[in-house]
Amino acid sequence: MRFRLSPHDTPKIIAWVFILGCFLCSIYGLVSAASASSHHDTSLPWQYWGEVFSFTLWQAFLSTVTSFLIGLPLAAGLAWRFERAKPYLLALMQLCFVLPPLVIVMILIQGLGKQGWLNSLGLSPYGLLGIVLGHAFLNAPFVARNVIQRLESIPRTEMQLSQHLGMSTFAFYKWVGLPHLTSTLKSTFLFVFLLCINSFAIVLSLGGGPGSTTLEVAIYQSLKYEFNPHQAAWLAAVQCITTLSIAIIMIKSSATHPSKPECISLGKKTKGIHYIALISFLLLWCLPLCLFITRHLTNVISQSFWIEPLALSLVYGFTVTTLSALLCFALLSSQRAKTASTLIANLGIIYPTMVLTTGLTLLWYRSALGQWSPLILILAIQSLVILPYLYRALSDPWDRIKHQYGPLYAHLNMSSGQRLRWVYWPLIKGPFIGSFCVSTVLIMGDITVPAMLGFEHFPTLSVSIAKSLGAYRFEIAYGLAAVQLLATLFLFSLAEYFGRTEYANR
Amino acid sequence: MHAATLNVQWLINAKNAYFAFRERARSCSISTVLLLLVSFMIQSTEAQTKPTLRVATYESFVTEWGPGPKLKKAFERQCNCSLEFSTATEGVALLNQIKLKGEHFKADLVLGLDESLISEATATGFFQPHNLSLPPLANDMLWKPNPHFVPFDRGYFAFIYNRTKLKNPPTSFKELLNHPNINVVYPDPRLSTVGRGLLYWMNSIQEQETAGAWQSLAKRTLTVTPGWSESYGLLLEGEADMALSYHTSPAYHQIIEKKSDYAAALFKEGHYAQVEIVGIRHNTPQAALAKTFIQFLLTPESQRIIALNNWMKPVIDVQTHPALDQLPPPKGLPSFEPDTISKQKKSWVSDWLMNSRR
Repeated sequence: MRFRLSPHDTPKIIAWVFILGCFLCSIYGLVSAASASSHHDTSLPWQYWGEVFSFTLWQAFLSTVTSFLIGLPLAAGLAWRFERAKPYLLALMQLCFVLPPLVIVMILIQGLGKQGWLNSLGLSPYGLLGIVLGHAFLNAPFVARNVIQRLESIPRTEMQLSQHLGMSTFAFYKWVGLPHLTSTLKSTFLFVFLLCINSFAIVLSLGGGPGSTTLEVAIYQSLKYEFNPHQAAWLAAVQCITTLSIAIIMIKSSATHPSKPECISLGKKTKGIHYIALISFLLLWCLPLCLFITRHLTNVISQSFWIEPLALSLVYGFTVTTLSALLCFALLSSQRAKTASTLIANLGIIYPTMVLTTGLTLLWYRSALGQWSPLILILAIQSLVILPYLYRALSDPWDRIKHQYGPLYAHLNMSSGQRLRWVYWPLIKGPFIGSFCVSTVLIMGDITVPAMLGFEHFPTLSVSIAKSLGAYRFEIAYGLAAVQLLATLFLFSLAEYFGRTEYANR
Repeated sequence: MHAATLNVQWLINAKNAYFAFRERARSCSISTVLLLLVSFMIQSTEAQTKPTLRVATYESFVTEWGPGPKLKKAFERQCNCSLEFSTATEGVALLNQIKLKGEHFKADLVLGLDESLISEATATGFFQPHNLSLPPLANDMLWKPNPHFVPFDRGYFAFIYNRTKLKNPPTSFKELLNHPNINVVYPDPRLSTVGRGLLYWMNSIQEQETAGAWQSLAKRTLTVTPGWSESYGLLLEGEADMALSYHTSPAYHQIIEKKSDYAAALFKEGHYAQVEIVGIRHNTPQAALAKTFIQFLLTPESQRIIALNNWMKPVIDVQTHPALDQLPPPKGLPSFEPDTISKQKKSWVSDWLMNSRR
């Protein structure tokens, strides 16, 4: 088969070249520094690295399973219920997913620590249990959210049929729910698994000691303290191979059958069990968050120093997300080589951020570009890091639109611009604004890239938090974290509102 | 018909108004650009007459609570120059940025590396000998003169505890290791300067017997955190009984928060010191100004500013604040030679790593 280029492919090719170029440059930067560096040895035995590798996978597996054990019943309890409260519930669920690690640690400690109100359970938030609980706290609502969205998109006819047949709840999930959910479950499982492998701050803060070293932590260590690019390079290679194989399985399993989401009310009575799901969610997730916010917001609300970093965080988040969204649309613009595009979009989660940043920074400063401000570099790195999230959120609706309206616009002979303006944009606006808000929040909360390149380029909220912590101002730092939480909550409510109204109008 | 004429007239009016507006906007924008250019030129001529000293340091040094802004004000008052700060997260990140960025690292002066990094920092070739004669340093300071670097503040690593909660703190490292009811937190030696301090402290006390000591400490350890702030946060939250910090930390609570709850546990074996240093870039055009700044840093006034805003001890004998001056002095341990550190560091880290896993 001959590969012919059509004008439709141009944006996609530009995006491929840009993304692959960045990653290849990063690999080149790191490898050249590694071959130039003096120490090639690692004083740690192979057995140690074996343990690090197996611990990385083991904690990720346990964390993912726990997230599912909590997330699935939550989803079953909340799907098709509480229509009015749902946008806010879903916003809260996403909130947990992108909380700054410091806040999670503080909340877990408020809840489970020595002074905590769950202390009577006798659980310690440190060590493997702490890591698993921390990850579950982050990811269970994310799992629930994905599953709820998928459940609610089951066609009306199947729902009605199951009602007519008088199926029990169990039978309904077995015969109707599961076939629809399989691909979502698989891809969500692998996505959460990948996130837990790449997780960094939770493992470090709640791990309880060097017994809980993961690959990501080891990479950070070799770059941050020892500046040993050689060790970092081979650790990154091991991590990449692991995550790449998981990502390939994920992409293969997420070949979904596009179907239109329908918000339907089944007219079932809301049973007690659903209230239990709702109340336990509110108690376990929302109460600690509210407590955190009310306890710490008063520290800063009367002062004004949080306004500037908040505004800058938003501007910065919007800029990076716009760049990333352009890449995402370019990747989605043509159907050719779809699997490869998906893989390329997901490189940000396969390849460790720390390594990407270091590699590119090394190359940047060893070239003539080094005398310029690294702002472009920062924007490029951050946009690659959030690309997987944007792509994940947009590729499904995009395919659905393509599936539904493809023949129509082909028949009408519309140009790409016209298609985007009249077909895609009105339909994708909701998910787009939604994922835009989520990505902005992710960028606002990121600290890896600022830590690497120097804080003066990042006057954002998370950097302000780090600064005030460094100067003993813990109360101010927690206050800023509360502001960040509220901003995040606002952005998410916005996201859910837009997402919902779009669906409601259909 | 009449309506149509009116409409046309309205359109013409609107068009005229639009053109007038565009014209005005254009002249406005031209004048703005001109103004900007002029101000830029004024600024650049000003910059030409006034030299700029670029100082790279760590973040907490230049926050509104840190000594940076106050030092800048005081120095600019006397030097007829401007002082510009750029930052990294902490001392080790500074050194890494020098390694990452090489000649593109924009600084005439690097402030905030510490004594343990001297060997590595010298090896980068980034620094020039300072050739300065220093004022007499504090009596209790164990500093070996170095051709490239000058000390500007110091602090002993110590475990901080809450007096109201821990009535009988351990009086020696040995007692801490064998204490059944105390839990401690400390930052990861792989990721934090303070954590690395514990590594030197332990090796300087135990010499050969570190494996058993790390194993005992692991039993007392609640968790190891990525940075100093998480550890100290756990102490403030009441989660941990003791957190690794500097012996000067209680002075912050006394002076700023007016609280005398926190104290440093002083150990019989002695305490390892962190000495923070400053060095001049090898090819800076501002070498003379940089030297003036270093001398300025060692004046009593600057030392007071640094001590009371960075919460460390001054390197010369000077009175700062009773709360800081009257802190009980820890017994100092001699620092390792920079070469010993660069040779041993890796094996010390792996020693900690292999023996601290539970």
